This record gives sequence, C-alpha cells and structure tokens, in this order.
Amino acid sequence: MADPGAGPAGTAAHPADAPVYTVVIADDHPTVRSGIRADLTPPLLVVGEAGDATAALALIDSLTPDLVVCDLNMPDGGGLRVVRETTARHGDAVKVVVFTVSEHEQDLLDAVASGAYGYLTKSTPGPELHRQLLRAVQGDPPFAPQLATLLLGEFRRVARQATGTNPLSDREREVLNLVARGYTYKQVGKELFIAEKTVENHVRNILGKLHLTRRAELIRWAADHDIR
Amino acid sequence: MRHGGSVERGVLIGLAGLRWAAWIGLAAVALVNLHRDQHPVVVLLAVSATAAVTAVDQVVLIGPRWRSALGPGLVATEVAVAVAVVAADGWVHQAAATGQTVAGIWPLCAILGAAVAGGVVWGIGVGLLLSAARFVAVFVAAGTNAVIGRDLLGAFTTGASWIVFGAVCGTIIHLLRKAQHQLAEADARDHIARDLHDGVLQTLALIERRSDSPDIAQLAREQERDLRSYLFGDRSQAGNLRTQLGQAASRAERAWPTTAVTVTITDDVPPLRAQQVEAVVGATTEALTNAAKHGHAAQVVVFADVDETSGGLFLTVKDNGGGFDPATVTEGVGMARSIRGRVEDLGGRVEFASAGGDGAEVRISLPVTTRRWANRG
Repeated sequence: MADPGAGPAGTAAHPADAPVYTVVIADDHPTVRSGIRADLTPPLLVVGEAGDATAALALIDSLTPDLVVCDLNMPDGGGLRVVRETTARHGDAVKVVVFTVSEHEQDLLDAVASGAYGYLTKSTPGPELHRQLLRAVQGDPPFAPQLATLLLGEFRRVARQATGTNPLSDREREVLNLVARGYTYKQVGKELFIAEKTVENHVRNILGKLHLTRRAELIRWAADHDIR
Repeated sequence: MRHGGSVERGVLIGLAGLRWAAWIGLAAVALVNLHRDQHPVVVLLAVSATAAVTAVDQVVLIGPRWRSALGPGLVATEVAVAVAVVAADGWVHQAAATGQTVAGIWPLCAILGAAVAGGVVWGIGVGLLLSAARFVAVFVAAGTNAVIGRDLLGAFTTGASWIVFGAVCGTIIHLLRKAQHQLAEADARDHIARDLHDGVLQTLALIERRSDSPDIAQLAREQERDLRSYLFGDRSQAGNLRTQLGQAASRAERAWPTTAVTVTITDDVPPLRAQQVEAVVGATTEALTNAAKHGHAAQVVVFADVDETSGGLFLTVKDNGGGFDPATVTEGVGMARSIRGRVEDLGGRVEFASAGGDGAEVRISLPVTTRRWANRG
C-alpha cells in the first residue's frame, strides 16, 4: 500500500528543490501509522506503510526509502526481522529507527544489536519525533536516554559475567552515562571537551560493541546448549 | 504456561506410590500371618478392599479425569475402607499375635488423600476418625476384660500422630497451593503484559501524542506510567524507587503541563531503606519543581544508577530549561532546604550544575551501607 500522496497539508513552507527524505512506516496498528504520518512533515515524506514484517520488507526492497520507522511488536517476525533483513540487504542506506512502547530490555537490545539505527519511545511528542527522525536521516542516530540506561546495565552485566573487564572504554562509558542523564550530544561534547562529531562516533562505537557482545553471547549460548 | 493443578497431580502420583507400598506391606503381613488370625475372612476382605481402592485410584490418576481422585466419592471410599481396616484389628487380633495391626501404614494414605482434597480440616477430621476406629479396635479386642493400659496408650499415641500428620499434610498442601497460585498469577501477569502491551499502551501513547487537550494527554501519560510500573516494574530491587519517582514525575507533569519528565533507572541501583527513598524522592520532587517553575524546562530526565566507586546511589535531575549560573545565583530556599537538607541529613552530597541557558542538573550521591548490589547478576 504505497501511498505517495501521504504528505501532510503544511507543505507550502517547504521549497520544491530542497532535499526530500523518504520514509516507510511499519506498524500493525493503522491508527498509530496515521498518527506518525501526521507528524512527518517535509522534508520527511511518507512513501509507504506496512502492517506486518513481510509487507514492510517487500516495500523497503521496492522503494528503498531513506528511513524506516518500525514497531517491534508486529505479526510475521516482528520489527526485529525487519531490522535484521533490512540491515543485511541495504546496510546503512536504509536506516531503521525502532519506534515502540516496548520496554522489554532483551527486545530492544537485540533490535539495536541487529542494526537498528536508533530507538524512540511512542510517548515521544510529535515535534520531537520529527526532529529526531530528521537527525537520523542526516546521519545522527537518535538515542533515547532510556536506551542509554539499558546499555549501561547491559555492558556492566557483560563485564561481570564474562571477562571481568568492561568492553567499553572509559570515555565511552562517560558518554553513555551523560546521554542516559539526558545530555544532548552537544552538551556531552561540552562537558567532556570534545567535538559533537566525536560524541557521535563514540555512540556509533558503543552500538557496534553492543552488536559484538550480543553476538558473542548468542554463540556462547548456542555452544552451551550444544546447538551447531 | 505452567500446568494448573500440578501440585495436586504431583502429590497424587506420590500418594499412589505410597498406597501400593502400604498395600504390599499390609498384604504380606496379612497373608504370612493368616493362620494365626481369628477371622481370616475379615483379613482377606481387608486385603482385597485395600487392593481395590489402590487399583481404582491408580486407574483414575492415569486417565484424563485425574481430578476426580480428589472428589468426595473416592476420598470417602478410601477413608471408609481405612476406618474399617483399622477397626478390624479388634476382631482379628493380628496385632496381639504379631505386633503388626492389619492396617499397617495404610491409614496414612487416607489421611494424606483427604488433606490433599480438603486441606487441614479434612486432614485432621480423618485423623480423628481413624483414631476413633483405633480405640474401637482396642475396646473390641479387650471384649469383656478390662482394657490393658499399654494398648490404650498405644492407641492414643498412634491416634495423636495421625491427627498431627493430617494437620501437617493439610498445611503443606495449603502452602504449596499458595505458592503455585502466586506463580500462576505472575505467569498470568506476564501474559497480560505481553497482550496489553500492544493494545492499551499503544492507545495511551497515541492519545498522549495526538490529543489537543493537555489534560487528556497528561491523563494518558499518567495511566501509561502506572500500568507500566504494574506490568514491568516492582519486581526488581529498583522497584520501589522506580514507582515513587514515577509518581513524583506524574505529579510534576500535572502541575506544569508543558514539562515532560522521563524517569530512567538502571537495575543496578542499590537497595534503599524507606527513609532514603523518601529523602531521594522528596529531593527529586523539589528539583523537578525548580526545573519546571524557574527553568521553564520542556523536558526533564531523572536518572538513577549505582555509584560505581562507592556502591551508593547516584541520581541526577537534568532539564533543558533556562538554567542558572551557579557562581552568581544564590540558592533559593527551596533548593537549599529541600534538596540539600534532605540528602545531607542522610550523609549524602548534592551538586548543582548549570551553564546559563543550557539547562540545569542536580546531582545527588547517597551512601548505602549494604553492598548486596555487588553480588547481583
């Protein structure tokens, strides 16, 4: 159900030659989809909507949007599958931002570890959602304080269980801690006397390390349970 | 999903085993001593009646309608047979000849069965009934002679132990059932959580984001937070702090509808005493008031974690409001008294940070004496 005419009314303020970022919305609740669509004013443009993972993946393959806003809890393998397969097929060209009410730690961490570009909660107010998604599409991963808090706990757990050393560097831990406390990247940079771009790099590295530790954990789990 | 009634099923399977063991003992003693008994027919009747009960109970238990093993019909039959077998000793005199009563340990099965079916009351009731039967046996055995004190004492001891056995079994079953009920409830809660998650929480989030009325959006936000804390929270050590900080956040949002408060807490926060929770929540409330009222903040993040160096609590309240310059602004009475006072009274430390115009942050460190957090995970 590609829907190119989904742009909201207030398009007048947007000059015709400015860049437009295409978005696909994947959520099994039509009301939620229309709610998101109403928030995504230009330069974000909703080009398609899907109600389950299979439909979402088909749409993503045919439209290659710049951004996918994806719920976690969906029929047919859920948002996790969308994240995994989109990342595998399109890499960073299609950025999947998880947009969910879920606070199930494992789901979230797995989604981010599978390559989700960012994570936002559904209680994010409309203008904030628009701002964060725009930042995402321009290369700045949206990263809610809630997720940073989860990551702090996750890496601490990994450190306790596995090697005894924290997989994060001291600097990365400081960054994570400040983001969890609600600092913007700019404020983090100011606080740590580093450039905002450096903060973004740290965040990317942290997410990369999460990916590695989650994978190592899966492999260890499989070995423990004699799965080959 | 855990199987409903698995406690009963488990106990009944154990009981069936016990019943067979009791029957084998009973039958062996009876058959070996048959030639010494005064009424061999009564003994044979006892052996066959107990065999029948054992077999029927076993068959019922294997089938799909295993619950009827707990029904009044089968339980009453078993109790009746047990009473009869215990009393039979009065006529058979097996105990006098061999030191072993006809019933052996068979009555225990009847008591246990009744306790599983009807709890403490039934357990004690059947214990009493069997004790009475035991006394009947002693008196019948004595006939016209005076009852021997030793036999009476024996009957008394056995009877008392049966009653205690009934009470203990009933209590244990009651506790097991309670534990199972709690597990089932936790299961059901998880299940509901998963289902509601996509329904109610979605709807509330949608109302929050789309409602034109700040009151309604606020109400939805509060409901979402309450539901979340019921569904997902409260089971960790952070539970109490999480709930209370969530409530403080809701109160602040109600008072200042243009301010949104996010509460995030790691699972590593150390366990706090009630007094400490109260102080921290009070200080947070004050910090939220400052952020909203004086800083006109649109967003505030409350963050709580373990202080990795001291093992105590580290809590921050960060806003994106107007902030203040800590060097020039004298701390207001609210800040000084309510935040510093509460925290420092318990040996904690408070820091205020702000780079004018870039929001403010209140940092609270509170020492905690227990070090249990280090052993967790």
